[in-house]
Amino acid sequence: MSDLLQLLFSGLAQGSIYGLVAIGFVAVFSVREIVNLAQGEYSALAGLSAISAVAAGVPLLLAILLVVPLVIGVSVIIERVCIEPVRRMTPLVSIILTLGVSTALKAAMLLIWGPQARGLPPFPGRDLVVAGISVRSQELWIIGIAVLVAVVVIWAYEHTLLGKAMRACAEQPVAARLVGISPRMATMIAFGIAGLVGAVAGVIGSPIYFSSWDYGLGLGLKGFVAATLGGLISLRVALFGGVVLGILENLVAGYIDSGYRDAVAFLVLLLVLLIRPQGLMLKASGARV
Amino acid sequence: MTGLQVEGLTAAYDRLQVLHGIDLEVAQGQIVAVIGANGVGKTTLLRSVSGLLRPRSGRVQLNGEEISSASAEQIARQGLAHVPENRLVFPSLSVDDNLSLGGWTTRKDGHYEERRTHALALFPRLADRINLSAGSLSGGEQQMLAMARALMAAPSVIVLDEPSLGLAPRLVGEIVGTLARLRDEQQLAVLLVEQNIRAAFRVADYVLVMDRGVVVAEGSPAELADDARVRAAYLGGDSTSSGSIVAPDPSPTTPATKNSQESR
Repeated sequence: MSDLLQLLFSGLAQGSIYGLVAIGFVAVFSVREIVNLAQGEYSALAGLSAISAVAAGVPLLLAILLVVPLVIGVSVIIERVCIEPVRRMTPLVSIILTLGVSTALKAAMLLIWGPQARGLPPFPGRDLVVAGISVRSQELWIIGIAVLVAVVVIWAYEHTLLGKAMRACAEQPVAARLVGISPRMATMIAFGIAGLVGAVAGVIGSPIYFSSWDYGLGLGLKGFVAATLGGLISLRVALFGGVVLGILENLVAGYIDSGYRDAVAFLVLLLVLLIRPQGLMLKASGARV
Repeated sequence: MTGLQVEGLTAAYDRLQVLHGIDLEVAQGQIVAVIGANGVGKTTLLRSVSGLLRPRSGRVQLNGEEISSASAEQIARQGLAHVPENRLVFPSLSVDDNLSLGGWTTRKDGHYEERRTHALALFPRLADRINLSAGSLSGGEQQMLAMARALMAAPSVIVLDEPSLGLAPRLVGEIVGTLARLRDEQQLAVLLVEQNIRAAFRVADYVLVMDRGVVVAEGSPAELADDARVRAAYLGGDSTSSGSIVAPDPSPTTPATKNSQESR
């Protein structure tokens, strides 16, 4: 029983990171059907930059506060340079473009930080044992911060005028332009949000999952799979899908074989594609974001 | 110079030229209707005016300013509202949210509440459904919402693409009546594309008949209804449908039209 709880708890922490990354995919895809394969790299970049900042003597909190806007800026620049100038964007074009961006980012990170994986120092706090399961304080930080950021992003989409404008662009791009909402602005903001959630995921996860130049590959894949559960258009389902995926992975690793951990995401992706490409957990309605 | 002026407008989708030089003018406080069969370029005309499609050549002026190379978002900011074909409301958003997004370009001018009150007074049915999602509304209600959303930007010119499409006759009457009110009370310049010729003739001050990308006839509704050529080609050849164009119109030209109808 305590094994199960332990696996569930670890899965929840890991899954909330996937959920954040999934929100990044959905934010960008829902506005202009762009699949941003560089999403995972944001987390690696944030983690590695924060590690360097801490190594240079910057306090942990300040390092995090510096790194998040940095990655948001990188994401927005990628949009301005690689996405905005493209005349006829299709999902396929976006995949090829962002694959190139992702490869370039990975190469740059390998050049700057080298091949070895490193971790940020853990956030303050003491590890606990509750009801027979060990609770690392970093995991509590991860769950708390990830849920907070995800809820703020989802709330903003649902309750602020800007968020509604983003949803309007996603649902009815022509009508959005006719009321004066610029799809270029919306795309730029979406990339900003993608940078934000990616950076936060990378920073909070770094102390236990570590950061390396190629960390974004696996993380991006898992975030993408979580996002497909909501057809790449539902933020709520993306967050939920991330958590479910994290828990599933841990259950498989714990009860079957830890070697199969990374196979779970592929299996889920296959199931989604075979059964309901429009999103496993999304009602077949017009509702988006 | 106020209102909308279009001169020598041509437009094309890739190599397929759809508009071959359209001239028209809509003054403030005037309703101009464009009629014609399917596929003659009526929707393309509106899309070229509102910036969804960049015209190939010609001039489009909004309140004296050249807008033919501006983007749709810029043109919306400059005071032209386009109520598109099929309404295109934001389906998962509430009626209220659709209205607030309609006021996107004017969100910082502090008159949001006035305009919302005014829009809901024009379409009281929307007030009863203010928290429902726009996708759950009937076709007629969605049309009203699309119009109310357009008005939230406080436009000086409004262009509408077949607002009567698929609506019950009573609703068509309501929509047309609202257009007349907007013209008379707010001096709006209205450019109306319609297949419902009866509705268009009832409300318009001036009518253009389009065919294959050019204007083939124009004039007041009375003049056009008198034109046997136009009537035969575009207003329906048989006596029942052309009779129905003029039947509800109490204007003095009605008897003349009826006579010409009988003389055939």
